[in-house]
Amino acid sequence: MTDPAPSPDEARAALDEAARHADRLRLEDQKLRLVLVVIAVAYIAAGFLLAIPRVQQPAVSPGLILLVVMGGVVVACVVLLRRMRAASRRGITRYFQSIIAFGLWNVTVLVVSVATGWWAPGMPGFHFTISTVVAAVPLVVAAALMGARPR
Amino acid sequence: MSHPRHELDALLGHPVRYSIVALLAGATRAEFGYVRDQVEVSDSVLSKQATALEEAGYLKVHKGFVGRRTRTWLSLTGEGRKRFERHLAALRRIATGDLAGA
Repeated sequence: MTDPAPSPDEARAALDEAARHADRLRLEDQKLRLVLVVIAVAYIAAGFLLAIPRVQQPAVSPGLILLVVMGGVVVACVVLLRRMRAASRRGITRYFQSIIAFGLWNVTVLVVSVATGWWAPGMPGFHFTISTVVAAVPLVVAAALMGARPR
Repeated sequence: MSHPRHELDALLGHPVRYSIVALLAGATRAEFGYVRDQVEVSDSVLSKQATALEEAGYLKVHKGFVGRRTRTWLSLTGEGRKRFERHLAALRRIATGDLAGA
């Protein structure tokens, strides 16, 4: 039992403080948003690199460039996540949901691309690029929603 | 129906402890320095209040390394979260003047 009771104004001030803390935590979620953006950009860049026809390929092999890009992504994500001082429950949940959605959507895009012949020998390279852009949609949507105020 | 003040948590009646728990309620975990900065207290005050909350089972303290530096993380336990929710519900009733209960 706690006595005396806070006044209605004191109770409102305490409730406001809790809401303020939740808002500040959402600012920390911006780092998770950045991680999603980095993954999406790297994924689309990889799509472009792998779609370059062999005859037009740069002196350095696209496979090597891809390896460097992916290595950079891993390092960037680790650095960003290590710099996070706090993470909201909502932000972390949404982050992992986004990664799972991205994985599932990716498989769907791959299966549909192969089954419909969109990816087939002799098809232009931009088909592959378009598929990677479509596959990255869940990451882009999640990044846009990350850190948004809950309704 | 009882007055909502009876539902208030005695431990959370302390303003610093309330602030710490209110901050951690929305977080999976938060770094000690982040909590200190947000609650605007010194290391020693936070340490003392965090220990009180930990001993009461409201909070967990995790220690780990980031590179060579040690870092301390704080998180609420399930019990701490439940107590805070009950405390918030009582505060809402007081704030809205619902002293008899819905």
